[in-house]
Amino acid sequence: MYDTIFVERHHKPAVALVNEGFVHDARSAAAGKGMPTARFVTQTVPCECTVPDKIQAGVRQAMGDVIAALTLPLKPEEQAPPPRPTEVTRGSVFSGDLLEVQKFYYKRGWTDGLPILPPTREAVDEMLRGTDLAPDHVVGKMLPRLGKVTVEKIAINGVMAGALPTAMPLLIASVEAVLDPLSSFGIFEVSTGSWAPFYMYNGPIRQQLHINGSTGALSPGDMANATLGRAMGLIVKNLGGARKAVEDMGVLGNPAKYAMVLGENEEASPWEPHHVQHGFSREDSCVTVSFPNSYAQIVPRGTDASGILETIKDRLGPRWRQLTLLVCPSHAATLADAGWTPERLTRELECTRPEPPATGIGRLSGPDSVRVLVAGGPGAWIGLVTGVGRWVTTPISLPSNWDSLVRKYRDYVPNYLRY
Amino acid sequence: MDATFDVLSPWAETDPLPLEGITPRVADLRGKRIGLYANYKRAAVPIQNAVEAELRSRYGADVQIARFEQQGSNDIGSSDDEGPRFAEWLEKEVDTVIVAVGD
Repeated sequence: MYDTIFVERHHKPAVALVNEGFVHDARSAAAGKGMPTARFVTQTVPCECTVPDKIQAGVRQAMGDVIAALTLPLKPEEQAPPPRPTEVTRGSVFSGDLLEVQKFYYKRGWTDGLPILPPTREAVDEMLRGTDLAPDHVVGKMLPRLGKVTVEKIAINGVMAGALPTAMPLLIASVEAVLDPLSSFGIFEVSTGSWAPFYMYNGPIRQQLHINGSTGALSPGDMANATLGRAMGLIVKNLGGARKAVEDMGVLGNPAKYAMVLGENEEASPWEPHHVQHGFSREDSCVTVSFPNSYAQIVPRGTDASGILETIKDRLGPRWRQLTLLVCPSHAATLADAGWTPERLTRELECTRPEPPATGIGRLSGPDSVRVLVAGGPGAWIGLVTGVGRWVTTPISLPSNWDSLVRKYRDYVPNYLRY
Repeated sequence: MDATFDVLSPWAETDPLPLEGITPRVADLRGKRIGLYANYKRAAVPIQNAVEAELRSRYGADVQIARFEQQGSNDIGSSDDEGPRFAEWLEKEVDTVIVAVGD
């Protein structure tokens, strides 16, 4: 609808042809651009259809409505849309017991389907100890609603996710990374492709907050990994306003939208950490965000350098435009002993990429389409995280009370090894 | 479950958004220049091909048809190169527009 509104703003009457499954999305997009009565006609042509008969039939069926939309005089409300009711966003919005709070938030569409911790004033104030920024500081405005991402709203969503106050600097930096235009967040977050944010953390903060980069880094069980990803998911939904089946039109969805978070296993890596490779110092803590939609794991047919590399090459897809390669420590050591570095691996894989078929979808975007991280524990599996966008790396700024805050929460570590 | 929680909203404020009405319609398509705009998605151009065929079957030579295809933006207004080109096309070549986005 954005393009339709552009036409209207250039004083030409327009109508959009919209797949019947995208009606709510179209209305939301038009309203979000300030032109809620922009006309559209629903049609039955399947999304991205390549079957001529279906296209012709769908268009023929809709053509009468198209002509009407271009010629029927405007109704009064189309010339002067009435104002929308305002939403209450400040202060207490509900009071109830734990189950009543769950029901209220879930029915408002404010959760990810899982129970949340109640964001009381007290809990949010504690969360705000994780930053020196003022609660009303606006980090940015997030698409598609252009919601104001204030520090307090980050804290509220962080509390809901179960994050500790020590997560605040990482959440603020992660928001900054997501809002960077290079991330193309506005496209990926609502795309039919179900691209999900992948947050990779580097630097001392991983050890301070127990962000797992070793065994099971991408599995549930680590509070930091789980709540950082979950909080960002709630932030994107509640501050950006990307609601499933309204703005977020991911066809199948993606479990990584709950959380896909890891810390690079820098201690087990024979190479410089990812953030150092890209201009930061080892002492910096950083977050890198990308928007893949697929994650596969493979075992190399040989665990020498040649076996590892040839197995990876065999799995490169012709349409892949972005690959984050997760190399377990043992394979990283083998590759390093054979003279491979992340830079050399990147060049090798970019040269090896098969030529894509002439589909018009898009081709390899050239340099910087491969990143190499060391992650995981003992074992032989390799992770292939694939997408089409870019990586954005943002430094993490720490509050003045950081050391005392870390000390206060340092015992949040599972003790299940005792039994 | 007896404890009571006064809870805050996680929903963001937005700046006030002035609402706009849409442009008055043309009375009839006959004699008009109809713009067919296709975005970058692969079904958009075939859809507009079908639209053009339908217009011809209904109006014959009584309508002029102009085509515009763009190559990679979800929001042409924010595209530095395609935005101005599209604006010029709108100003000079069409009276009304049908937009196809391919999904």
